[in-house]
Amino acid sequence: MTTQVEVQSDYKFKSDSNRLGLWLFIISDAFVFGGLLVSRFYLFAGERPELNQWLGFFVTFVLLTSSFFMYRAETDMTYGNVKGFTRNILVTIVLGVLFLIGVVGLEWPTAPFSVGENAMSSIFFTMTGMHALHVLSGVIFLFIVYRKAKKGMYTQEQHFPIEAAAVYWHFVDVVWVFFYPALYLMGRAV
Amino acid sequence: MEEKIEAAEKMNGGYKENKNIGVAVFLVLIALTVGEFFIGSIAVDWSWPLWGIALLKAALIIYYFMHVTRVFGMSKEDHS
Repeated sequence: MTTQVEVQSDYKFKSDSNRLGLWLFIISDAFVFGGLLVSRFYLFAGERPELNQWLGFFVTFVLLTSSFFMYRAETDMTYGNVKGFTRNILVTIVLGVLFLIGVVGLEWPTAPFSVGENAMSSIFFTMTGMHALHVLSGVIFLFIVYRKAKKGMYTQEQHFPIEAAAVYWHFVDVVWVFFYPALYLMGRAV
Repeated sequence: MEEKIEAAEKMNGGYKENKNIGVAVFLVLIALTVGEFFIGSIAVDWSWPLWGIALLKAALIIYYFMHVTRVFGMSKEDHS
């Protein structure tokens, strides 16, 4: 007969292994974004595209705020506050969608070039597009976790999927921390 | 609910304390973002301070929000 302690210990072992896998995935994904960042500076070291500065600042603010609410959501689940968790993760999802609207819905149509027009436009759309794809998959991931939490599938003691969703979401934020100055702030606007 | 929080506090430290850490880190991140926005606006060739700020912001997120120490089994918040 399996005791409660054995179940907990088994879950902890699985979570530790899963966590290691998650971070290995994060590191390998970081190389993709690192490559894009290097390409941007290799092609246009002292220049940057002429973009809407306020929009860039706004979407950055939105993404940082979403990370803050994700942190709160995870903390709530750690302390068994499921209500607080669902409230905070919903805010995170809404902010993630708002970020997507800001970049894909507002920045892309008003960018001073179209897709494939020149090397700068290619690198701009590849960087923001690749990042937006990660934000979209993050939003889907968060929604799945939200639905499962509503069904009572996670407990204070056993909620590794929530941790995984949170780490992935914060990673997407870290990528933007580097992309924002690289695209909007560094170099002379051309 | 109260009992659950109490039990978790014994294991992970204070609930409010952890929430306050989140608020503090968030405020620092926003302040740094405002700083880099102004640096980018006034000084075109100042990329090194911007790199420094980006690295600092990334470090804060990775340490406090992503709980990187859990990977090494060092965090008191290992609650999965």
